[in-house]
Amino acid sequence: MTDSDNKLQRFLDRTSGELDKSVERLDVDTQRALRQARSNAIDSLHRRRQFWQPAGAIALASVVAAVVIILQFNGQDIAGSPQAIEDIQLLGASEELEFYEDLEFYQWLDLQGRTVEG
Amino acid sequence: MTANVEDTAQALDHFLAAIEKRAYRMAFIATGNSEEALDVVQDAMLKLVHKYAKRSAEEWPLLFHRILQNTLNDWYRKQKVRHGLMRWFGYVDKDAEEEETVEQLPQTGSYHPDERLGQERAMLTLEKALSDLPMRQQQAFLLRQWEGLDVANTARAMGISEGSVKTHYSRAIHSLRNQLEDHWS
Repeated sequence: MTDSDNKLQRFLDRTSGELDKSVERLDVDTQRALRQARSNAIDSLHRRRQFWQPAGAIALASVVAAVVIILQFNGQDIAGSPQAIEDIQLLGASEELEFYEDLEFYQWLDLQGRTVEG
Repeated sequence: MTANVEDTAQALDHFLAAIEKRAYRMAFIATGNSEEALDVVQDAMLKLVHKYAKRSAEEWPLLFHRILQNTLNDWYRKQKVRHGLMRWFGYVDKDAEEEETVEQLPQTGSYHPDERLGQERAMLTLEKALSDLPMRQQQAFLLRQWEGLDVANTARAMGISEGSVKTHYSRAIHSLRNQLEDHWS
């Protein structure tokens, strides 16, 4: 390592050290506000679960009922048709619903990336 | 509430508790304002919990950084538009300017006054130099140097190419050394 490299490394270490110290010296009010922000975020997880669990169950039941009705109108024997059962499982899979819930956020992330790049 | 949700909530709480102060410092350096920085961090926490609670805990740090940087970019764009409009209408926001100056001084601490003054001066010099950097340089420097992310993960967090990260990082170091090395030697 050259003198120049050593000098740069010392400089970088000092910047990190100063930033670390500034975290240790964070004032009490800010620390309290951060704890509150974290608590709000975690509470939102609980609220979201409470909202989505019944809503998700109703949506799932509706999808399954619709598939059963459509298949019966088409004269298919649901109990004897592996394809129909697979369709019902696919439509009722919770991962699928979650993926569609997340679509909006993926679009947002994508848009953010493109806007910043542009 | 199921045990699984409770476990996730607890894991998220530990993760956020571990990163919240550093996230706040990054947001404060970017915004120069305590309230704005707290808002940005709270937004980032909410987005992580809302969208990525089910992802594995190993993915959370990078996802959180990505969200935090995007939220800061949003803030930065809004400020640009706001200041542009204010300048257009000939309005100067003196309150905001005064607030920024006052906000830069930390309020409390448990150090000896002389020692604290010296440390605060060193930090304020660094903070000013970092704040003066263009947003992308500031982000690249803090993520690479302070958070210790490698080039690839910094690129993912910032949503830019690895080549751009290297350029921003190198320019940031050059600029910071020019401003700080004389003060610190």
